[in-house]
Amino acid sequence: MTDEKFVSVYADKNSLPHDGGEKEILPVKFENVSLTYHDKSGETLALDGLGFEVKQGELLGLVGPSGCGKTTVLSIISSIVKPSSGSVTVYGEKAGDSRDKCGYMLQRDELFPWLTIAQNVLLGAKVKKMKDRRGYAFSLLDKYGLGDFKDRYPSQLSGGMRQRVALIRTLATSPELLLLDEPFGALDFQTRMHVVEDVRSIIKKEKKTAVFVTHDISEAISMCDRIIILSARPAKVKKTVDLSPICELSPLGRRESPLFQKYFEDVWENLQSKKEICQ
Amino acid sequence: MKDKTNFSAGHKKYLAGLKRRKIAVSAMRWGLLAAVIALWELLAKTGVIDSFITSCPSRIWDTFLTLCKDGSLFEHAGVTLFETVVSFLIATAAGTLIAIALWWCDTLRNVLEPHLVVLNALPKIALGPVIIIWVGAGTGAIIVMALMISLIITVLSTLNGFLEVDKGKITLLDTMNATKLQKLIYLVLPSNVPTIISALKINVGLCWVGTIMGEYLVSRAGLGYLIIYGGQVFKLDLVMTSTVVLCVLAALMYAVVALLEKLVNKKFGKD
Repeated sequence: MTDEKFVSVYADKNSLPHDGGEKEILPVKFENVSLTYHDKSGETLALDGLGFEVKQGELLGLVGPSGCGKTTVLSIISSIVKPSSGSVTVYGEKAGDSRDKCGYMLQRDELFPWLTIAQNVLLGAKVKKMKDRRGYAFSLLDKYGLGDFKDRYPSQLSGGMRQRVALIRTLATSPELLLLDEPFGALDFQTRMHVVEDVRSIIKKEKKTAVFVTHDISEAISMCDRIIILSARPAKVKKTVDLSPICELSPLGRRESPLFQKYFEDVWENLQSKKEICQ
Repeated sequence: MKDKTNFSAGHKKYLAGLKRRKIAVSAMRWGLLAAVIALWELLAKTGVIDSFITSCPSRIWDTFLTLCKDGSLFEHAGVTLFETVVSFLIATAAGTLIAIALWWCDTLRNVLEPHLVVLNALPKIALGPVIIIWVGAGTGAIIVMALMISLIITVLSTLNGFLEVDKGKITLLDTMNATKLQKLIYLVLPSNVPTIISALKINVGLCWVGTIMGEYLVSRAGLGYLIIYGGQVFKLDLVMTSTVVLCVLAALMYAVVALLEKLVNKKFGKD
């Protein structure tokens, strides 16, 4: 990744198409978003006129070739990075005014080894100065099988448990929108299958909207309601795949469905063709 | 811990081997010390070496008892210990604060970094005369000298630890919209407790060096003063006794910090 600190912050709002009609408020709306990174060796166009929407209650997957700017999209939604141009709204507000609506889960669990599980889970609430989160966070720990580990330290937990703690830490501040950045990349295959099940059911049970970034096609298909395939850098929407026919199935159930292979080939082909263009 | 009776015979043998080795190393350690002392005493008693120039363990012991009786040892050791502890505390506190300031402000760090490196490379004893003129010949000058020696290295090593904080954890706090102060309090400081403790360990040694050097230059009391005085009047027994006492005090102070490190590592151990 290029250094995210050197991102140009000018925004040309004049070029935006504004649709006037009042519709339902979308969790995320990207319109014609571009982003240029600056560093010593030059500038990189990471996003070029990207536009997409995330619907209420949906689990949207973002897949694309590595380095295409998937993480950048999440950084923009959570307003860590400002786009160079274009409009980004989160629940109808300009990204940045809506910071507390987002919960971000990173690739590694990033639990602080010197804090207990209970303290780790409450970190977000502490940083955001939210009161009375303890009860909710602890009820989540109890609900998802970590109730007995509140006073343990992260080093005493397995990888899968740590990832669940990281998810609960993200949920503890009650975000409306979850941003998941390859959250299972650091896990071994078996643990991964279990955690994918867990995470999908937790997100659905807690009725959250989520954007899930991954480079693993089968993981995206087994987890999401809809997949957006991004092109190689600069990222544009290449294709959208609707997974509603298998929506009711669990992640493991999906892998056994005959449709799974069809979706896999569809996504795979769209990722492939781009790589050839790159070369 | 598992119940010992559950171990297989092979594992018991392995554990016994470990224990035997530990005892052997410990015995050799103390044996070596005892042998050196005995040899020194023997050579001095048989006249192979001149105990007027080299002193010897029995004479060091006698001098020690004499100095204890008239109380002057406690006075001198107390003065030196006080100076060392004060400069150690100031160096640690000020060094950490300066490191925080440099971590906080990138521009300040970029501007000051080469100057700090040069200051660190400078042999601080060269500043002795300047310090005496500016601060005056007294306890102040000794503490300043000890600070000169230990402060810069504290700043550099602590700052290094601050800058090496896991980027992923910084990103995590960014996603929570943490302020810079929150990043400092919740992440940078706690994750650097082991770094700060290891800086303390280095500081203990450096502060003793600084204090003794300072006492060589200006003092009227202290172990450094005793050593210089003993050298000037050719009382090698006094020099050696003071050195041994110094040795024991420095080891004790180091042991306290090492104990602190052990306690802290238990909690802040790497995951």
